Amino acid sequence: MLFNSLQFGIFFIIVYSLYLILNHKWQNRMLLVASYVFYGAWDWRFLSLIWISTILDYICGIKIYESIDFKKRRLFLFLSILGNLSILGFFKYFNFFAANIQKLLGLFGVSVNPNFLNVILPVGISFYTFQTMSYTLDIYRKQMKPTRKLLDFALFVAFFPQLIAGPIERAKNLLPQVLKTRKVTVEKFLEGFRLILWGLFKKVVVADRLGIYVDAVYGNVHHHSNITFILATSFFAFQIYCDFSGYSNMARGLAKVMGFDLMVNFRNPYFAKNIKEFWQRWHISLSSWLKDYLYIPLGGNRKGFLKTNRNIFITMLLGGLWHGANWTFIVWGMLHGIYIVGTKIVQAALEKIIKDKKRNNIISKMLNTLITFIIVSLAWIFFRAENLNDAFYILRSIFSFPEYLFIEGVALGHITYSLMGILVVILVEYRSRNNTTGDVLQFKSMVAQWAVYYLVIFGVIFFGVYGGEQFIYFQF
Amino acid sequence: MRRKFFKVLIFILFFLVLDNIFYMGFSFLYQKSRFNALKQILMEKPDVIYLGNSKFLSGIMPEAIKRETGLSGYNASANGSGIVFAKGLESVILSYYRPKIFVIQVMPLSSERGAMSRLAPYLHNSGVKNLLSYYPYNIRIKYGLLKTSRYNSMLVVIIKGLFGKLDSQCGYRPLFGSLSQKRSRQVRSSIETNFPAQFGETLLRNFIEEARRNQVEIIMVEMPILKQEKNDGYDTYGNFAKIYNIPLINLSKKSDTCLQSTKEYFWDKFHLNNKGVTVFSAVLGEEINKFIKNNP
Repeated sequence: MLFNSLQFGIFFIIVYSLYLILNHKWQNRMLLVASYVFYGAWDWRFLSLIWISTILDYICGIKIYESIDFKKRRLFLFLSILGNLSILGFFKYFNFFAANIQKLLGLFGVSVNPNFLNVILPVGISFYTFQTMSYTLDIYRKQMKPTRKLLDFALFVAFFPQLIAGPIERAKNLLPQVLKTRKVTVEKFLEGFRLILWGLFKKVVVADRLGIYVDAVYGNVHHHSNITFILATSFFAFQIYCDFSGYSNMARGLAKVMGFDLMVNFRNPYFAKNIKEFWQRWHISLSSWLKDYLYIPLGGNRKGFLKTNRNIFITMLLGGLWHGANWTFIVWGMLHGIYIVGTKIVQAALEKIIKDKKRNNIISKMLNTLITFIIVSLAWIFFRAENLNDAFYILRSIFSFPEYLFIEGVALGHITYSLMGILVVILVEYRSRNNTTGDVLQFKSMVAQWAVYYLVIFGVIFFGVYGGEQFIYFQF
Repeated sequence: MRRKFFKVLIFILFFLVLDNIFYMGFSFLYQKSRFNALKQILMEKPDVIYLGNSKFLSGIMPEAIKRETGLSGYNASANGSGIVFAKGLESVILSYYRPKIFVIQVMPLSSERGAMSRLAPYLHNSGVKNLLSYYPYNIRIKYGLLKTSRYNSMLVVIIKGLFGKLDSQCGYRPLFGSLSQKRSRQVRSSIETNFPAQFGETLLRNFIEEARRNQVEIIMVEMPILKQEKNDGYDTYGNFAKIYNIPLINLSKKSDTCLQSTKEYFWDKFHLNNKGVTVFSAVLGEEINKFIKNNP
């Protein structure tokens, strides 16, 4: 049940109608049932994993809070983390590690035949396990109190707008909203509507259109060359942004119309002027999670230059692994680690050499933005490629002599619409680059506001791609 | 509360009005577009209509066949097409006039790319409307409720058709250049609509029977390809050809016997180039001639 499907539209209308007539207690119960129905529509068998995670963290949260003994608190935290990571590791990483251990042992002449699992990856598993872990971690750090209302806690874990692909909410933010009575106002409804509309536009009009060219190129890498890869990789940079930020917009919008405030997950990442800033704007819910629960516990920037950079590198590497059990994601994470560390070193060196403040002018800002986009896009090659061989082939081709631009296999119209879509996204998001809420379609004048609504709605109808494309981040 | 409700109502009403205005505007411009195949067909009323996918689009030159047969023709093929598109276009064409022959390519029966978006401007035709009933209900609702959606992704076609140069010759789109390793025409399968094979067979039967009812002859053609692979639908087309006594011309076999070196005639492994099209169109022209002599 995708957000951009008719089935979801009908599902949400029913849920929302019930939501408006029920009181707070029954709203939560109904939302919990709806969330399980929503998840069960993909594969009801994996609901059991959500229940295990929910019950485990519910109990561990209370036990951590009640225990005065430090060892006991650590034991229950350990149990919570072990439980969640075991579920994640078993379903997501078992085959990957088994295959790599088999290869490694093979290098030393040891032959092993591990039993590979024949299971599909439960949708959204990386998101909800991280979300529930943040709950026990925050209680352990005494940053919040546990709830004793199991059903409300279960709703925090399974809240359908953000269950499948985030934002990875913190218990500190979402759980109090579950527990308290929410108010649905016209302003919230309209803001939510605008978020949904813009998210839908980015997904259906831009991301899915870009995907046609990207898939045609990345699906047949050995048939293409230099310019084609540059175009396809640039398209992918916007495809993944519009796909994922579009989903996040819709998730936030759906929650907003029900009175929930989910965290902003993207803040115009391609306007970032350096890689560090990029990570402050890209998938904020994950990057801040990794910062709070991995980078800082590792020591953060408190233990000298070398250890700080080591911590950054480990965090980015594990961030890459979080995306999937594939060397392509690990290399992608490592590359970002190298970028951040490299940028820090280069910046420090530059500051010593150039003390002129004028380099903060508009041209240097634009240049920095462009360079950041280029290096981020180069890393996307690893993220999108089927395997490392393909990724290195693309990289080699990009830096080789220009040959042939692939346009025949996909109609020229697709490329034209893709470029138009990218331009619209850049212009709209540039206009509201200082807007911290992500509500980019808001206009003060009613005439302008209605005109924008109609433009976006007709844009979706007229330029949308309706192939039922999955959101890219569902696979993580 | 009443004011808000009134506002929402106005918003929806105005939306419906705009939907109809845009629909009429697009409809008008599409009729003017030179890329509107039906407009060309109705203007020229050719004797033969060629229906197929990209292999046919770049592999059949109606002018070359006319030189052999004396029959005027129009290549109404479209990229990624299958039997759904052929059936829809047949219904639309027959509602206006009766050509002498439909030459249909042996093409997929169970998958199709963009058929309904190309047929959507003709949804007023009952044949096309019937085809829509086989699609998932979300597609049916989209086309049924929102008229603008009938021109989904057609802006480039409309603008290019109004101002651009018409690069086709009676519908035929030439591909220049010879076989190159760097070419691949594979696009992702996810933008295709998949149907049960049974549905495709029903449509093929309907296609043949509707043509027969209107006294239009049918010729089936299997196009040559360099990549040696069996066309899944070939046996089904063969069976129908036997049942309905329709000639099935296998140009793929002709390529083995008539041509020594085929590589120079191909743009890629699946598509003929501008050299190959003249050779194979002549071969097809001879076959059509034979058919006409046997069926005066």
